[in-house]
Amino acid sequence: MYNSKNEFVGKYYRKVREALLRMSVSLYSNFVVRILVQLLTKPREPEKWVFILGCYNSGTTILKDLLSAHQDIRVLPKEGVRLTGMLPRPEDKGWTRMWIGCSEYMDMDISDISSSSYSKLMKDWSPWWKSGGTVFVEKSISNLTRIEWLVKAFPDAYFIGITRNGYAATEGIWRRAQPKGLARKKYGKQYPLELAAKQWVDANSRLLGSIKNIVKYHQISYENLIDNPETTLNGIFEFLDVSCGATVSNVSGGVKINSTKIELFDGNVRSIRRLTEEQKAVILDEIGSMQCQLGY
Amino acid sequence: MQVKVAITFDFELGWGAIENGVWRVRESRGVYDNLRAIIPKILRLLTEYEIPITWATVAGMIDPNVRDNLEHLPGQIRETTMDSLKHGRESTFDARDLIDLVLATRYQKLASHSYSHVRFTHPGVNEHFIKSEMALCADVWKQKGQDVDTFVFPQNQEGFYGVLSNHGIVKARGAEKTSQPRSLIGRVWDNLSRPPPVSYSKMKNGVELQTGSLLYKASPGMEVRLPLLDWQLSRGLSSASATGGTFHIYNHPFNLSESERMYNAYKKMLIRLVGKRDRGELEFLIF
Repeated sequence: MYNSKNEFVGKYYRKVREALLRMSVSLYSNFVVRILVQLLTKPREPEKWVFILGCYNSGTTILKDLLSAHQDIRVLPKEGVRLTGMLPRPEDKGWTRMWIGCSEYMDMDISDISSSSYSKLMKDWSPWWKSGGTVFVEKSISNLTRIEWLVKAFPDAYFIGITRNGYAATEGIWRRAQPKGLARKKYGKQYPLELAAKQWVDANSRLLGSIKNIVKYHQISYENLIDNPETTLNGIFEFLDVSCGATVSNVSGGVKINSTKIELFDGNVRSIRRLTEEQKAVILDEIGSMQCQLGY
Repeated sequence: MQVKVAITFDFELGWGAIENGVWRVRESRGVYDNLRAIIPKILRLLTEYEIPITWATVAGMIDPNVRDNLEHLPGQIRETTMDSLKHGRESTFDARDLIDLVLATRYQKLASHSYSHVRFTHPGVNEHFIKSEMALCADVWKQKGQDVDTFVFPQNQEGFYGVLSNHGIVKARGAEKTSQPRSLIGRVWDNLSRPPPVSYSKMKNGVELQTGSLLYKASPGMEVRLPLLDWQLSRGLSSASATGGTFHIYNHPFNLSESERMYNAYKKMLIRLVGKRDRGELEFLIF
């Protein structure tokens, strides 16, 4: 089962660490715990804020992991929405990985932004941001519902948009998302495929519709990231003005950033293979126009 | 043993927050405007209690020709700085009105906090850039009739000691010397279990590097942190007293205009130090 004792210990250690992290994040959602932790950690501010924007299952997590290998970049251990009481998340209402199900709840009024909005978020996130970096990357999928709000609250922030083939992304959302609460009452254990496709379309419409309002915006695709990570990542590092000192090179089965090797594989083939012809037809009905608009 | 305390102000207004754009947030909150009322109050207090403070000043902030002197900035930061100066209020980036008040106050010393506050680890920062910064600073200090030999690193990010030394800098302040853990639990435990570090001094390429001890700051809305800061200060002073080292307190003048509670706490802290000095338990050092 395990090739060596080290492999077994490593896997066990990762599981324990993940369980501890889950527990800490859950505790941190309590207001009193949050205040105590903020009280006992030094306040910090990054030199650059970066927000990753993209639909569910579009490669946002792998992009975040790749960026975190850069010596100047720090990321949150979980989605930022889970570490603050300020931002709504669809999961609050049972709409796991499906914010279109509760768009009214997700919409944040930009007139509510005050100078304290930035400070409150910074206070909530700052303890989780590991020391040593100057650039802070936040990736919460539901940020797509509040791009205008983020642009206003973080006027000098950098935004990176990532898109992915609609069939693959839709299949991933449909397979992985499990509705809860009211959403479960409505749809049972799995969302309809059409809804997953609609989620992909709506997410990308919001992304494309918001680009004009963002001063510092860089767009990539999941496919380019997987096919040529070296060029794609160097493009991002140049955009963020952190290209000095980071060595990125394509290696067999992945990419090497400085001394860290990260494995990459093309998930599109496997995802699309899982779909039947009928399912593909259902998806195409929903995504056709957006798929063309994104050049797929 | 008598404890030695040095105090510095990183006097930078919005210049220290150009890269991340936070100056906009502070400007909208009136932080830099309010500072105009706070500085005279703090200066009166420093005169009354004879407290020496070193004002590490961003030279660009008091240079009337600053907009013509930013060509040396590297990459994106040049554009960002020009844009910020264009869109920001005068009170956010111009401190000519304040520096004269500081220089006219007894016991206060001027130090350099670079010309533009671009951190020394910023991409594109090299020896040539630092030389340009130091030359521009020298012009500004000359215009003000000041002899400046002390430096505070922007964002506490150290480097280029040789260049600083060649431009007359003999002393510099860097970050706290700690080996703080990176994990959240480790950092929380570290803050609870250890006092803030005593200032550590080391010669580097002709410059005496002194590390900071305590950033005395509670962000707006986090004033609940102030008693903890005072507790850390007490522990730090005891530790400095026991080791014979110097305890170096620093923050930004605008921190005092961010909230009234922060200003009151800082004032109380200074008066507490003065009380110790008057009892012969503490000595103020000029950094």
